[in-house]
Amino acid sequence: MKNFVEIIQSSINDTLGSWIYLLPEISLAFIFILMIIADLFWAKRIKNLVAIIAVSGLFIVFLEVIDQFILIPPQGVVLFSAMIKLSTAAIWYKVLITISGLLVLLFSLRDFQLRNTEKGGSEYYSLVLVVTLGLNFMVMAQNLLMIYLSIEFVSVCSYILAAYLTGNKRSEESGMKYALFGAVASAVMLYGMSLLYGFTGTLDITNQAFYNGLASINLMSASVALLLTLAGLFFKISAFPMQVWVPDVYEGAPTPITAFLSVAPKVAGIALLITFIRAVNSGGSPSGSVFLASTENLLAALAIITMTIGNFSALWQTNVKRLMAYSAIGHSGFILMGVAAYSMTGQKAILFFLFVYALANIGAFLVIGYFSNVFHSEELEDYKGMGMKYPLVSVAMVIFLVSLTGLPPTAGFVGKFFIFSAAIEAYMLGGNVLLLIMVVFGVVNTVVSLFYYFKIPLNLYLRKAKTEISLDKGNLLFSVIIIVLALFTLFLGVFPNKLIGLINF
Amino acid sequence: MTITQSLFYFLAFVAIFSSLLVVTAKNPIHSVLYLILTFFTLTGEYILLNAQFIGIVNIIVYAGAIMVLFLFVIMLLNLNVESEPQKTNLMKFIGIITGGIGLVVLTAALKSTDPSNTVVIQEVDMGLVKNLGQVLFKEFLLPFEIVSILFLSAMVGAVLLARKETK
Amino acid sequence: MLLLEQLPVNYAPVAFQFFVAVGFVVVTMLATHLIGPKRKTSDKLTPFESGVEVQGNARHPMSVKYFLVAILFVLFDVEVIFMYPWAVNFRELGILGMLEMFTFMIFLLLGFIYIIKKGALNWE
Repeated sequence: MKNFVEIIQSSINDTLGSWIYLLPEISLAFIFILMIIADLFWAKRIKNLVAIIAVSGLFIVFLEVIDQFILIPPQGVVLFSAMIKLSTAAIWYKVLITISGLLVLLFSLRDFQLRNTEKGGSEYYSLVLVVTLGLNFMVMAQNLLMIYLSIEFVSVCSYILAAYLTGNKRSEESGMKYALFGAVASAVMLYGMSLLYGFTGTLDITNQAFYNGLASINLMSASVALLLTLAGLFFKISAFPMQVWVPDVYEGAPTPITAFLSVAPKVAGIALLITFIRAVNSGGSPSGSVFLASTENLLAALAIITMTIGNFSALWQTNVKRLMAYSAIGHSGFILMGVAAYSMTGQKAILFFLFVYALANIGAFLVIGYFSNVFHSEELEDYKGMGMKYPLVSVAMVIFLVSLTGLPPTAGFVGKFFIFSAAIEAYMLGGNVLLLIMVVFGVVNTVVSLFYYFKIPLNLYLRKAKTEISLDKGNLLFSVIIIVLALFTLFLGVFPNKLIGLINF
Repeated sequence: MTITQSLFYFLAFVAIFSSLLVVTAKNPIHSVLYLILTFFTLTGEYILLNAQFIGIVNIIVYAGAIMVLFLFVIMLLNLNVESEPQKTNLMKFIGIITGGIGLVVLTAALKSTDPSNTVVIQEVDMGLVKNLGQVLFKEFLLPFEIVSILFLSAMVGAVLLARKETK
Repeated sequence: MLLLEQLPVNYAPVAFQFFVAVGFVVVTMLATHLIGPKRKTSDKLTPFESGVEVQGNARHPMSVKYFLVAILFVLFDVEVIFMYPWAVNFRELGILGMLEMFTFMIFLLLGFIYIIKKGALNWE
């Protein structure tokens, strides 16, 4: 009996002690409540109140996330009966997610479409905050239930955000398609998870029983269960074969949301994928996991297919948002290269690459938003001759595109370089030829991407505008953010060690 | 064959048969009715597994509430016109091939699992409401609280998308 | 304290009652159908609309309002489901369980206030 009391006591202590590590998440939940109350009761009196709460609140959360670096021990802490694990890597991903959330909020403040939607903006800002909350849980999750719940959390809010411009056919179509594809993906994932639970008897993927249970059964059955589960994650990071939704959803969604969807869920999805792969590959005999070879092959093959599909489809696009959507698929392929390399260097390379990708991608979408505020179009045709009229923004756009292609002196070059070297290192260690083929494909795809990225500067600078119409002045807030992001991209390209030196886990 | 086993096979047969009818039925309302039948058989399966709580929840939420939603969606659509696009034979063929491959892979994978290796439920009473509550409010506290935030945001979203703006 | 062992076998009376109930409905329906006299005229086969001539088609797309009410009902329905396990364990969980449930309820109460204030349930 005494023992029982002790167990209860310790479990209560575990629960109570866990909360202090969740400060950013609890703050997010509180800010969410505050925003809804503000929207209901005070929004009429004070203009933009909800947006102000959102931006300042998310900034406080950002500081709290940074603060967590000091709070936790180096090996990380396991919280809530092994539901989530807060590690240094997870904090880095959270930093990245919060930064992109902040940028997107600032982006949305001045977006033409969002400002003129009949629904008003209050729900929009609260939903962006809630997505951030879900993404935070996603990067920390290490229990199948928690994984499913956080993915579903992010999905439900993203569907609503994608369809936010009600009355706009494109946006509605985008939300609908996203919801339908997402539902299928999560159903498949749930089936896989139920099989995993059936095989192992545990939901905690870091539990030794999880690995043992999978390793003891027939390899094919285990692989099918794992593949089905991974399908849900592949949907989130838009990797082959779950990438079909990307172009339509990205094109129809409000531009700030497209920017957000192309970065934040991908970051969280990659973090979760790494947790998952690590759980499957760890444990077992000293000779390594029985799944090591097959996961490596699978991820390498998917990386090759994903980036090839993304980059080659982008070649024929005439809509800039659609072009960026295919480019986002291509980038998922590059990130998967890093995951396939599965090593500590690989993980650092992925984090750096994601940082750089987030900066450049959000920056590029900001420019798209800037231009669509000015002339209400996202067609490549209409970009003709704009380079001279909006010189600063256009130069920034070129910097972002160079970074996305991966050419020096921008940060994109360093990011790709790290990913390639991690893959080559893994090839040297393991001798898997597929990894080498993957690197070759990566180089070829980088060259291919040059062709379609080049189309944008080509139209901006080298082609003449069709008509001479007087255009509005661009937005100042946008220009400032765009220039800051461009400078950061250049800075990290020249001094990558400033960031890499900080990343250690 | 014990009575439990024969009940299981009976319910499983009805479940599969009625879910096939859900897909093949011409009238969408009939599809919904077959779906309800499927849910009832699944509830039977849950009870056979001694998971009474989830069985009852399945009836209340799925067969009750969610089916009403399905019916509403069907009513929202205009059923007067035969507007449903017919798939071409090529599409049907591709669908059958891919579905068939999926079925073969899944069956092969699950069949090759040695049944002696599957996890046996340790406690028979695991699915009872009382035991579920014990776990839900201790071990699974965090997901439980997150669900409430998820509900709130889903409510906000539903109201947002369906409300007509009066200006 | 030991829980009384509850097994599917204990559900036999429930199943029995279920079958009796369903069986009664089926039997009565079949019986009235078979025994009753049938006189089919064109007037008798039209839908009954209180003696008024049938007008138009019954299949009109309906307002999305119904759907909104239904979807909100589902959300609250699922919420109530979570209360059963709590209520059954009310004593064992003690004050901590109460706090946990209250946090849960606060969010849903806020959702309810949101729905009312936004006028989602107003018909006009």
